[in-house]
Amino acid sequence: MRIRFEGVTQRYDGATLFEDLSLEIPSGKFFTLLGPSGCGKTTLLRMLAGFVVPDAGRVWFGDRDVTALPVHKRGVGMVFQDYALFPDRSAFANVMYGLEARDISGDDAKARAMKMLERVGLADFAGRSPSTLSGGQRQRVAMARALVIDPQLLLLDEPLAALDVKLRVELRAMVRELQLESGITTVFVTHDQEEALALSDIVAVMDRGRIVQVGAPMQIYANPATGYAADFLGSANLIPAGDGRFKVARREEIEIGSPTVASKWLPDHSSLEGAPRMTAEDDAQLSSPTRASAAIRDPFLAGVIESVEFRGSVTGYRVRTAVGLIHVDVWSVQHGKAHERGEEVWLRIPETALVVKSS
Amino acid sequence: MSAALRLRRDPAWLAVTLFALAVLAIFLVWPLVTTFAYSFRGKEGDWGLRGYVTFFATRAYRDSLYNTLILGAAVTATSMAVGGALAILVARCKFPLAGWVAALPLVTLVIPDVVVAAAWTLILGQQGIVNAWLEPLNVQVPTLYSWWGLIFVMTLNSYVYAFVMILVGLKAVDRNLEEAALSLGRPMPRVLVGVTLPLILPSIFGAAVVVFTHVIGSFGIPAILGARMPMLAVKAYNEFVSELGGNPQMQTIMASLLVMLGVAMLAVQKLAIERRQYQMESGRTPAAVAIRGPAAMLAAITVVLVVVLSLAPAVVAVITAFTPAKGPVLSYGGFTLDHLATAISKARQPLWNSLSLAAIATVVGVLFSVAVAYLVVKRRSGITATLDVLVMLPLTIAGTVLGIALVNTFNTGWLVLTGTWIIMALAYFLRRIPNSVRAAVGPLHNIRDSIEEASVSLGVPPLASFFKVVLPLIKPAVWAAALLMWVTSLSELSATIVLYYGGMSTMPIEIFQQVDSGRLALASAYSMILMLAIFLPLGIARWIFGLRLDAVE
Repeated sequence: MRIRFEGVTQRYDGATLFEDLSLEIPSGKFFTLLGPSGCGKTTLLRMLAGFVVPDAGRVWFGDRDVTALPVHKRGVGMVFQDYALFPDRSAFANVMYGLEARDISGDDAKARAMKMLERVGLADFAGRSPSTLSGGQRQRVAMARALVIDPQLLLLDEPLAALDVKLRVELRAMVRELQLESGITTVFVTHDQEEALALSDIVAVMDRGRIVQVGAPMQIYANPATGYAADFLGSANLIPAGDGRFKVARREEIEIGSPTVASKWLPDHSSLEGAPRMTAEDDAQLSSPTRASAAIRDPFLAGVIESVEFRGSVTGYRVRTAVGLIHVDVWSVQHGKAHERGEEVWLRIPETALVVKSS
Repeated sequence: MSAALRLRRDPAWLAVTLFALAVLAIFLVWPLVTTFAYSFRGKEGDWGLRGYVTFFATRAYRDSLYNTLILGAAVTATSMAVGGALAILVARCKFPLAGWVAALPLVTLVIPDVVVAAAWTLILGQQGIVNAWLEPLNVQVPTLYSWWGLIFVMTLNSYVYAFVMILVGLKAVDRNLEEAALSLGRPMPRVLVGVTLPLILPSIFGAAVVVFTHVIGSFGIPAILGARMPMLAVKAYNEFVSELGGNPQMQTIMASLLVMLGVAMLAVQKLAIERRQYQMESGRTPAAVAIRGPAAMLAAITVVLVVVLSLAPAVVAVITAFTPAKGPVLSYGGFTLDHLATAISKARQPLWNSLSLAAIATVVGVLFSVAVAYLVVKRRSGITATLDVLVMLPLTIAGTVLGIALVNTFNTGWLVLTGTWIIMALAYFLRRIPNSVRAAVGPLHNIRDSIEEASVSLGVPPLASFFKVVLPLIKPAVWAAALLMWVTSLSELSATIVLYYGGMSTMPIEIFQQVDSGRLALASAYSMILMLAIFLPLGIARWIFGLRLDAVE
């Protein structure tokens, strides 16, 4: 089912949350609203559920105007950040709840509920009360409860935010699989860019009530529409380009090295405004011609390491340079030797990693 | 966006809100406004402040106001001292028998005011037990019908409020704060004064306001012990029942003054005290220090003494119920079943009235209170904020005042209730809803909005979601509130004594009248029956459901 916001305006306590916002969510897609807290993503989600009614504008489910339709008549499955399981009912009874409300009962309903619990891997926990389940298990019950009613739209309100990292990764795979299997149009709200990129067919980046960019994960990551989007999608360094524009350099594509080695082949130019030029002593040291020509086009920067953060697979460096702080992520193992705090380094920022944007 | 669902989009709950507002407007606000308006209307139908001028010019009236203020201040001071000391003792010290205090709220709840007053006249009265012991020594205790007697008995009847509120305040203090102060190099005494005391000051002032309001509105004890120094609540009643036709304007003036005092106290509570309440991090309670030796002995004796004094009225009432009497003279040591036999044959109707009125008020009151508590917590808006204020209003109104206001408002016009059982049940209902609402508000705050939203999103309409999902979760609090409402309605005297009519007398009214005419042994037999009627269901509930009533009060 195709979902549409049409010219939606919402004010709260005198402040404008949205002004004439329009957005279309294609049928059967996994659609993510990504943004920091307070950007309005949860309000948009709650508008789809019916908990919030826009002051102006319309909300469409397919060809049906649902703007004024009460929550309980919308046939929407919703999963909450805090699970919102009924604490006095067993996992099974939680899943049965929505079926009972639809007057589906008897063995047929029980079979449906059990099947759903099986699909989320909790068949053995049907009789357990929510308080005896772990966070991940509770969220699985909540997923089963929302899906068992065959909703025409599935709403996920930061369902993974309360879980620890490992569970989060495990559960998001399950969420994606369930969505692909059922083909239900799904709207997912998160502030976690990794989650958004990992799960979605389409991501909408939000900033203070506006939708900044909509697109496939790869597309918005590779080509963020604005500095804000680039910053929020993470892994980006914003480098001012003088004329109100700026360059975006992705952290993991920047190379870091010791000046002693690099100084021998540093090229004689830098395309980064404001960066000090460096002199190459010996270009010939570069092995392959392609690499050499690429390297010659690439801007180089000198800097001092301010902090080192070993994060397991990746080591993050913050390097103070003439154009500001630059974040660099390198694969720990591949890179081998770690640089130290206070060490002078050079950075090579490949031209391919640079996108010029207006702010 | 915290309010789960907007009220205006929810016709079912909107209807409940409007209904609740209408009930309170008609049965609470209107009578109060009527009473207030009458206080400005003279005998000839002239309007103005002349009535108030007369009130302050006439010594007997003026004194009743002063007496009320004096008693309020004195009992507040003594109750704070006793209740506060007890609270500090059990919150911060460990000693033998400290656990006994847990019984105090229940004891106070189970023994009606009027029984307390009757029992203390038996113990300390002219022909009382103590005087009988002292007779060979040729000394007498000073008469109980005096300021000291009144303050003494009122204190025993009021200190529990101070005790419970200060204890709750002390237990809420975050131990980390004290430890932080200690770690910064402050000695313990300075930490207690500089850190702990400011934290519990709101509880202390809150307790003082509650005790003061309770005292100025109380009826049973001042009516029995305070004939020489009439209080506003008692004098208003006397004017009301006066066969010579008391001055109706004076009744309403006294009622209005009491309401104004009560509202002033509520305003102090809301504006000055609640705002200063600190939000403490969910803390560890400060550890109680074990005390030994003479100090522990002293502490234990204090606790036992308070418990014994609180329990004494019940014990004395039960003993007296079996003691032979000739007129007002009791021969302790003897045994008779006469009083009980008389009481059982005569008390059937009043007991039935008490039980049925309390039951009706409880059922209606709990339904109403739960609905209002839900609206106040989960559907916050201007209209439910109004509801929140209105529903707390009865806390400030003395029973006598409420009774007079109801009678004066509903004796003519389109709705005549005076002289029906409805008006009595209504008084019980109105007097107890603030506490019931409070009891339900706490657990409702603990239920996350998302649980209800989940139910609605699964296709269950809002009102049905409340019954299916919310109500089961607050069931224990609802039961506790119901029980409390029932028990306190059974001992209600001050409003119903104004409202009752032939054939609709209740147990507390019977006891009051027996005491008034000096038939103390019979009063004791009645008291025993009433206390049994209160205690049995309470005991069963505590035993079966493990209900904690002290958590409610």
